Amino acid sequence: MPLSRRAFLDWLGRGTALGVAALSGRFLWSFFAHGHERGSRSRSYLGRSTEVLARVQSSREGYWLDAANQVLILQAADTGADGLVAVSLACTHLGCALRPSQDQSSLVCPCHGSRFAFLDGQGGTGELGRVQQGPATRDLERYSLVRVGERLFLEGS
Amino acid sequence: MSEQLRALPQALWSFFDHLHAPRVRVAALRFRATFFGGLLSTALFVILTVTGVLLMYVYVPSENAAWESMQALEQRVRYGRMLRALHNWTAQAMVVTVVLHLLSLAWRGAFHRKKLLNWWVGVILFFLTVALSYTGYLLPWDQLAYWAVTVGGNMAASAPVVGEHVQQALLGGPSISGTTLLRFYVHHCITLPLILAVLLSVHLFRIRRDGGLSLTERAEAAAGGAVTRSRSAIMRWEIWLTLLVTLLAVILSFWQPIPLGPEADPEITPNPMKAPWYLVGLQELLHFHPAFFVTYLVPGAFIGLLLSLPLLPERIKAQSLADLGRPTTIAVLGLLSLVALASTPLWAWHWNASVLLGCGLAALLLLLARGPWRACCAGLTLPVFLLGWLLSCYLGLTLVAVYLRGPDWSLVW
Repeated sequence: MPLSRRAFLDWLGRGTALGVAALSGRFLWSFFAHGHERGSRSRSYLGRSTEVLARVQSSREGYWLDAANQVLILQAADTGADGLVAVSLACTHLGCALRPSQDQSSLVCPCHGSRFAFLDGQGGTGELGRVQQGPATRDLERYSLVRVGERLFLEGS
Repeated sequence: MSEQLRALPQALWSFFDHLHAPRVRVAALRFRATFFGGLLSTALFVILTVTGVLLMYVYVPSENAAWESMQALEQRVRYGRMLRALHNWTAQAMVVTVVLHLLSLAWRGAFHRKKLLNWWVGVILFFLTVALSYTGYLLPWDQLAYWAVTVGGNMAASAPVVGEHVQQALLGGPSISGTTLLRFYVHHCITLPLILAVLLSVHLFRIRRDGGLSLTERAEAAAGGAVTRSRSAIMRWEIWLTLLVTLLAVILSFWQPIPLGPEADPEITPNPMKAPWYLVGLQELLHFHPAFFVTYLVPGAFIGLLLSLPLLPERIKAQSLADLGRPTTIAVLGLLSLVALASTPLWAWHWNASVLLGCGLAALLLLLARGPWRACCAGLTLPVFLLGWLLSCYLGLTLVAVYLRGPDWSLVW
């Protein structure tokens, strides 16, 4: 049976409607999701290395919590540059800011109760940031501390 | 000319008049027949629109000024504190009335095929209501708002492949910022209310086209179809009820203002951090389950269930639990209990205990429905039971999260 004029126009109308809907959807999606950067290495300034070291050493707890950068810096017996180690305080589950537990043995998330290894009492950092209790599944991000002259930078991995 | 002027109010009145069916049965106007869920939700939406527009005159949607503008509202604007509380209380109340409306419609068997469209529109309206609440939650830019939306954005990012793009579209960047605030502001004040208002008009209009308010068979029989009232009388009655709701909400807002929390601080998360109460059940689930499951699969399954209810075979839709054979009843109840129990790890004893308690209550309800309450439990069909069960589970999660969760999300009492 040949396609009648009316049926043809109906199909044309439906096709147009579908096309317009798809194009609008595509437009809205790119409008709202534009400019997303991924995988960029970020470097942020911490301070002069002697000052940072002094801040860590003079603290009663043996670590310095840099809330603005969401990072915790401590001195460890077993590691690199000035013996300083930096670990992110952003929970790997859904991004809330961690804080040390009462006994300093873990970093605890106030939103969903994830726990990450913190001070082990011996000054080692092998376990630092490892998941102790879910719901988080990924260990905390470790930052590299980069020295440029006298200045100390944090570098995300 | 003057005659035309005199006719103007009448013309305006008649527009709203014609949203209603010409005659409405008196039986449909009883509180017991409908619980007024739809009317209350609509009235609350009107109050929210009025208070929301007033708040827009004071509010500044910028990360540096939002919190201060709300503080200025509370301290310097006359009745500012009451206005914010009124908007907040009515928004919370609307979530409750919309859920009760949905349950009461299921009870009245309103998802007939011929009311398919209105059921679907209603489901969308339900999710628009929740979305409006969530977007509004960020605007004061206080601590809870900031962290609730940080968590929400990361939840969105949990989807495979598209997750990060969804997060980007939601927040306007990889993390929460002033862009997020502006986005949520426009969503909250323009986009979502506009869509809601259009769909609400369709929703109200379809009541008339679908042959009036849905009633249970019992109420239908009692009504006899005889006693009716004119729509003008009903409209006056609706206006009085809206005024009454407004009055009660205003009294509540004077009596219980809602204090503004401390300003958003990206450095410190409050401990414990609790989402708004109607979402805190999901937060409790997040304690146990992967974020993707909680963010996408659970709400997705719930939407899917709601949308597909009217499409179920009539035999299942209308199956009254009171008439179900004993072995089948036990099988259904056992299956639902097993699903609920399997949904959390065995060490989560508080949750398992509440599941068992819920099963006990459900079994008791079924026993009553088969015995002394048989007459009034005719509306207790399989879909109603399923919805009630799911909502009870969610209520259980919510109660645990609200009352039994302390610092570090550990159990306290």
